[in-house]
Amino acid sequence: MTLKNIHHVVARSGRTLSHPPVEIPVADDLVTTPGIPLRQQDVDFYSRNYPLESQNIEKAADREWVWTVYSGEMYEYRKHHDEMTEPLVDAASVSGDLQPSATAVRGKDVTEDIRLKARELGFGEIGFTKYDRKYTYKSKKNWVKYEHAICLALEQDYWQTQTIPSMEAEYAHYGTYEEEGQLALELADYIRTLGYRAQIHSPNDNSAAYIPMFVSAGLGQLGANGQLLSPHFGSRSRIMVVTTDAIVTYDEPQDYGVHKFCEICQVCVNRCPGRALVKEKVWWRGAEKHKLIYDRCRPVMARYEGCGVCMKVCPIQRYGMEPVMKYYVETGEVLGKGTDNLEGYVIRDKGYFGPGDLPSFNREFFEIPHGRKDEWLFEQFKTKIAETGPPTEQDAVQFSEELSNIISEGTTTRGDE
Amino acid sequence: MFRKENIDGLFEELDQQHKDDPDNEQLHRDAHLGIAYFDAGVEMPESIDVRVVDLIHRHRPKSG
Repeated sequence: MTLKNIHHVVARSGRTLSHPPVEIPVADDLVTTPGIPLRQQDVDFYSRNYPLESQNIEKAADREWVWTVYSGEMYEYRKHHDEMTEPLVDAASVSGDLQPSATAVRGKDVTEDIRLKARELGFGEIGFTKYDRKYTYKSKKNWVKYEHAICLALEQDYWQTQTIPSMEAEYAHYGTYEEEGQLALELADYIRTLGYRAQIHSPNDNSAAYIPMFVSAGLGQLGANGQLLSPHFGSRSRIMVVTTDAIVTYDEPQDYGVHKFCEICQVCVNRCPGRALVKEKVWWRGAEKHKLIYDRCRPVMARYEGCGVCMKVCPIQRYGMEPVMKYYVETGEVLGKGTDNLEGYVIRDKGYFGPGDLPSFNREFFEIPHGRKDEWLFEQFKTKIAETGPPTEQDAVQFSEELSNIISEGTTTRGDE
Repeated sequence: MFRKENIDGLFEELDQQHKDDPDNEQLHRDAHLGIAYFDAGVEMPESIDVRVVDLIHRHRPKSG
């Protein structure tokens, strides 16, 4: 006897090639729409007039600041990670120029060949969709070459992820990016042997906001934590895209019931140490979503090993979508909600926080640099004038020199998002 | 309900006994899911590894 009626069942292949397929029941009261509720006119308007830009450019000031608050171990590890990924990013950046290494079989659809190869390489979720330029970063618009997106998610280690926030979890986080950057090189080589071109969009130098494309490809739906909730991993995966000119068939968006489920669950919202997640959805750039408050998230992420509590406490991440949705159909409740097992976490120097208990931080904790580096420099200059009056000649010269340095450094899209 | 000390105790023993087992990660997944079912007061499905079921029974809260 179940409490809820099942509206439909989403069938997905297993977590790996050796795991059985799963069937995810979606209760009547969780049904919304396949993919995400969209106002296409608004999406078009914003992409045309206010195109997205990489956080590595738009948020460069705080991205530089994080290095000043990292723990010693985190600082060294990030440096190591950046060195490790540099050759992968270099290879990806020119991958779209490489020619096919064989002649294509005329008219043959290679979707399933590519999907199988990606599965064999270890990617857990693979989907095909149009590379949607409405989500491309302004600085990457002229770089993207091919119209078909292969959406690839590589699972992050389960055990390490459950230790969030910790260095152990950061090894999993950054290590997964390093691994998939390497695997994508192999996948692109394979596509070239099929007679087609492939461009790798490095996970350490993203070309766009990828989640909308993953949703279009049916690989999950957007969660209240701002992350893709996929059937097997929830948000415990690292995503990237390879684009190609191969003949492929697009997958369809699915309704896994996530939109309504997140409204009911709210565990990530309630457990966020920085109170950066919000209960109610808003319309943002044409999509109905829970919009994260960046300025409350970033200070915690920077100081506590990437934080990630919202990933850790998501029941779909912890238990998988199938058991969670089955339990909801049977009981109308959220599996694990209100328990130490799902909701508990330890914050370094502050201790353990169980259900209903959150750490507190003072106001200064949340004061971080904003915007681009030049914008932040100008903000500081204005503040100084407001506090002490017109600048001295020395102040003006110093400002000018710092601004010159920022301009000559230029901007970069490189770095994890 | 499993409290932090019950959870820590269970995973400590799981790691002592099975840290080098090839299915160690699957045991961790099963343990988290099994604890969730225990906390919810529902029957443990057969898919949960018997070694995990045993650990859950031995580490369950006394009042649970």
